[in-house]
Amino acid sequence: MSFYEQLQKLDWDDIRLSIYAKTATDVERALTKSRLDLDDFQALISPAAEPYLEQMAQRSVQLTRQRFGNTIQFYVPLYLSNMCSNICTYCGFSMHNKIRRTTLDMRQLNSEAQAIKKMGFDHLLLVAGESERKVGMPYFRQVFSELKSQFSHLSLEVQPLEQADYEELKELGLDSVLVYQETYHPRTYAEHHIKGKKSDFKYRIETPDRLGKAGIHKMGLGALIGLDEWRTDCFHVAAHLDYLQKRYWKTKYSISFPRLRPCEGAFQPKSIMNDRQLVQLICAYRLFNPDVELSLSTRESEHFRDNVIPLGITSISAGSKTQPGGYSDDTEKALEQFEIDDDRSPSEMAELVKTMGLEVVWKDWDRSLTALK
Amino acid sequence: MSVTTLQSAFILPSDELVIADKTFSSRLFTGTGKFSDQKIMAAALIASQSQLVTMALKRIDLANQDDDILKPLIAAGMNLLPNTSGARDAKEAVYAAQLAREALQTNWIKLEIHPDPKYLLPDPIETLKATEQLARDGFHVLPYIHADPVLCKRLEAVGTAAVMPLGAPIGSNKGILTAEFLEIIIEQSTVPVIVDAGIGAPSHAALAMEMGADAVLVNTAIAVAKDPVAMSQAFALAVQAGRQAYLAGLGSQAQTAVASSPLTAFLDL
Amino acid sequence: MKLIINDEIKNLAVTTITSLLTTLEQPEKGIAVAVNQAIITRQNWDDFQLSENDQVTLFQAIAGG
Repeated sequence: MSFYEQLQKLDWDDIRLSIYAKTATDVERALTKSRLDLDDFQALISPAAEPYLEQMAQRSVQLTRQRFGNTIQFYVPLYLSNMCSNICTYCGFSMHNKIRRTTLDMRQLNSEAQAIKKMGFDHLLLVAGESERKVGMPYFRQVFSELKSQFSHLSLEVQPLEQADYEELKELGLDSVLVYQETYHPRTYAEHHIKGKKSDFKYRIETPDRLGKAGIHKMGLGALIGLDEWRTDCFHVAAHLDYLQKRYWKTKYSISFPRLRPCEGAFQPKSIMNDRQLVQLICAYRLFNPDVELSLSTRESEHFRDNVIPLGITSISAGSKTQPGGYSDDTEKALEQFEIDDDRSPSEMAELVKTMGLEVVWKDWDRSLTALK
Repeated sequence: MSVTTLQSAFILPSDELVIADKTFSSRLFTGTGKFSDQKIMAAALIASQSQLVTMALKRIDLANQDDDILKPLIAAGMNLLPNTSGARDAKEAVYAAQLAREALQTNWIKLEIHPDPKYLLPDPIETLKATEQLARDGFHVLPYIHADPVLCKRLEAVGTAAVMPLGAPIGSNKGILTAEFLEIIIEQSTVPVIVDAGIGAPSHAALAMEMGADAVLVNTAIAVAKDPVAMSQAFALAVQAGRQAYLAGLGSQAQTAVASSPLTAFLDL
Repeated sequence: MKLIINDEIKNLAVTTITSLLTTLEQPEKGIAVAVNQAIITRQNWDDFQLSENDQVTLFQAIAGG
């Protein structure tokens, strides 16, 4: 049994209609309950909840402080490679885009790692395009053996792997895995993932189940907001989270909200989500699930991040470079995956976060507490 | 002894409870212990329309022939759930379960392991061990446990058919003392949750159902009531009321507003 | 032969469980039988041979819990 089977029981159109049919009464009920269900989540992401945004934000702050204290985790993405054998209509790394492709060798990797450590980070997110042949398990094994001793927390955002691969990488130092379904609508998914292994909807959506069975410490979910109707897609993220938490109850969970931006290759989002709606979504996730980690990347503007971080976000990236080799050598530029909007340095962000009354957590937990060789 | 007719029109149609290989339209489970006599016991349990009843196993007293307590219950269509009451560890419980399966020809078993004779609180470690063994041996195990959410997940992992967390110590009639933890269990569980022990009044049973429990088990409160037949019917109505309230979607108490400067004004800039 | 039935010593001219239950006037339904702590399932009640000094325990369901 996996979420794929569960998904067959959800009707996209019924859900969309249900969300849009929510009333102020539904929203008010959701705002006063202490344990919300998926029906309440629908109310909170519906248009009917828009007048209640301030109330939602207040409640979101309350719940976040209660659960997470006055802290925020910092992490940084390290792009290992922009090689990719998929064609995804929205991405700068797409196989048919003529950009310079590169994969870091171990020397380059270490030089990147050192530059990152100098900035203060202890939590690294390793990112790559999806190129199984050139950037697969043999490469990952090398990467982990180099980095495990240098960073307390290693996350991975690469192609979906087999359960046995995750089990092996866990022993080598893997702490968390991010895998975004992009869109939960199979037809829309097929329209945007034209070629390569990523076009396999079922394999991708079953990845969190494989992660849960492999016992990975934390996993990250999300939809690429704008590929399809955003409210319905984000409802599916919440339903996915709900399903996974019941089955893989020892795992921690995190949600991200990448919004589509233009990049190399002409592409327009099907559904535009404005800033107000993103705030509504973040608060809705927090009210629905007080324990889930919420992550905001540097895709969002300075102005937006400054005001939204204290509302319910628990982890942010800073000083990000989305091309391989970007930290140690700023001059050589392969094309970026997406444009960075907030390019303030980690120390600037740390200062900012302090003014919000929050303390930066560079290291969340110590791997030495688990029995790793 | 008054007899009221239960309004079965209030039993909601497709709200049946599925546990293992059985389906139940009544979410009130009952027990056979502590009644003053067997005729009253049978009358009360049958009047409640309960479809699952627990009983214990003991060595036959060859000198005194007990009446067959089961005949009227089986005739009324009740499912039998033998328990392992008396077992103090997993080994004894497994043995008792096997005897029960033999005697009653059912592989349903309520696992009760309470080595503490004073409070009869269940032993979590022996219960987990026994559940794993019995599930592997083809039993449908319903373990009686403290309201421990982590223990519930561990039992799920070894194949339990349901979980039966207590509301309060057996026979105490103190109600749902473990409410906070039952809520967590109900939220996290992927198997049916049956609140067992401590339910002293129909209002307690209704509360458990309003919280989202799948069923409740009531024994002492019915058996020691002045009029057990009427009391069992009161419980049946309470379980229905609580369940219907849960399905109808309860509103809740208003939260106190947090006064502070507006957090979302920046969006208007 | 001498048998210990539920802790009582009895001398009975029986060799199978079926005949034992008949002699003791116990119904076959609703009963479980163990011989020397090992459960004997009912399909074996005709075949299983009792021996001298066997400890036989008979169980039934009773009101309780």
